[in-house]
Amino acid sequence: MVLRELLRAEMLFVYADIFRRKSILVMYLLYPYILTMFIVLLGSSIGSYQAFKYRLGIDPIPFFLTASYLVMSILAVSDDILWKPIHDRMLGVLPYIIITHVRKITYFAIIPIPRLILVLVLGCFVLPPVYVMFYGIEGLYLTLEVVSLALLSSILFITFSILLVGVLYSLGGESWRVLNIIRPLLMIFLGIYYPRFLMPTMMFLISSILPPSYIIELMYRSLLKIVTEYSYVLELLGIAIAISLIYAPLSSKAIAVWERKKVREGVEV
Amino acid sequence: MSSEAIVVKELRKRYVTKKRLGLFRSKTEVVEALRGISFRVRYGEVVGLLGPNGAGKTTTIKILSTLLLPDDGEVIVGGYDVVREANNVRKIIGVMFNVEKGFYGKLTGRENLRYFGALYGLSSSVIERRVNELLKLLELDKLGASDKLFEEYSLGMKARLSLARALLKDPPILLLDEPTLGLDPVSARKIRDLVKKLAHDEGKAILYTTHNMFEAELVCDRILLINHGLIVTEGTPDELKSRIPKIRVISLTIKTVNKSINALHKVLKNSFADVPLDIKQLSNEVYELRLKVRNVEEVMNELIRSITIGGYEIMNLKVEEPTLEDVFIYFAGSA
Repeated sequence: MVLRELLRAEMLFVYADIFRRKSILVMYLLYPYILTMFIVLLGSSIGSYQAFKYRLGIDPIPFFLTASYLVMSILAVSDDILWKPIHDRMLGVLPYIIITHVRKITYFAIIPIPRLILVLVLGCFVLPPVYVMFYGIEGLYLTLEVVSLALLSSILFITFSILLVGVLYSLGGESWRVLNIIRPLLMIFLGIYYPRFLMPTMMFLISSILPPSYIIELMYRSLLKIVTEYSYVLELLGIAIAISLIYAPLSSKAIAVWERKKVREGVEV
Repeated sequence: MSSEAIVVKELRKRYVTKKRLGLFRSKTEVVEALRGISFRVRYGEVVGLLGPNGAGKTTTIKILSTLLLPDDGEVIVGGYDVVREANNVRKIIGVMFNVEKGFYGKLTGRENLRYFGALYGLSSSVIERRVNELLKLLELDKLGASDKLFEEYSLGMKARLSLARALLKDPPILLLDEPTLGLDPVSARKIRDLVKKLAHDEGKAILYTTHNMFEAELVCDRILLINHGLIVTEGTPDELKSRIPKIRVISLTIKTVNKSINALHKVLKNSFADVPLDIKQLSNEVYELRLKVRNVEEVMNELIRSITIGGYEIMNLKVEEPTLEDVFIYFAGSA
């Protein structure tokens, strides 16, 4: 019951804000297109559109649209979790959150779900026009595949994001400056704009500790039509799920440490 | 169930802060916020924690509400230890801090209450019922504020909503930190009346911090006077007043009727050499005299005689009893 009520509360919180500020909704719809346009225009000005197609075997427009949509869905999770304590502290809501007897790990796990649902629904409207234009009716299946994998990669990112919140905020307090450094790094290491299997070893190793990177690799293999054995697909899925599950108790511990630290210092009221 | 809702024994808290003196130098400062305070709050009473800014009121409330760990001492809320059984304490308390913030601006009052209801683990049906009851009780629906965005609320509405949130779970213990700070008289009175009703009619235990003497006297059944982290005295408002030296103020409004006020001043100084005397001109030929005396009866006859013999006209006379403010100044000054 707690889970259901918490989810209802978070849905109310997120959707009330989004549907009252229509500009946010419009931005959500346009975000993958704007980002794709920006990357393709920038790329064309310094490189060659055809060379990209030749080297990767995919048109840059569907490639970067998929990447931008992935960014949006993963950010829906990481941003909501990472920024919520800062947002709550600034609004003076944090003491009222801390004194709830709901387990904080449950609370943090629920936080990104409403925005993630919205992003997935939007994906069903944003992706098909471009995919159908490039791949015909197959584009609809691709939409389904991309949205499903985006959902999986985002969900698998929840435990890592909570762990990050716990560790970062326990060490240095709720700082938006640190988040602004970490955010773009995450996007790089997840392999969204630079496929993981093309990364240098060091980057690849860092990327390996991020569960969504495995799903994203899977998506790009499918998108780039790289022949992948069924066992390797299962392997990637298994590793991603296993790492995410390993992070679950760690993230619970990290959040408990952060909460204890807050109470030791005194929660601002 | 024990009649004691809150038991605090020898509670101590100190803050260690670093003060930056330069690029590489800093100085550690220790502030003793609470220096071993003890008190009890029973169900059905409003206990005021009265003290100036920085006295330790908010620190006490934060410790009781499990938002701050004490350094030493024992704090039992509703039978649970605030350190070892914080989660149980959280289930039975309602808290109200800084009324200006603490809600989401883009949600309406009703939505904010629903949100916190869910966070407090209430079921949807209970949330709906409680939210409607509280919006009505605090007259937010009457003010048209229930479905208004929180960011559009006046301070009075915010305070009412904050109290509504504290009451959402219908907790037996309420911890209210300066709930009427900065409010208009109507909202302040509404909150004060409700607080008294909640304690006396519903049997809730309420700890109420304030630095407003007038308010403390109106709301609280008992008052704990806190200053520099120590409880300097405690009791009912009347008990506290009886503990300070019996100095009363005789206030007279007199008309000089073509006579000099200086002459009267000289006469009174001769007759009551040891009595502090203030004279203030109110208008042409009208003055206010204030004398602080220990025994009114001893002075009164002689005072009236001196004034009337001199040909002055007494327009008004009253004897002022000591106020809680006098108590506060007396004890806070001695701490």
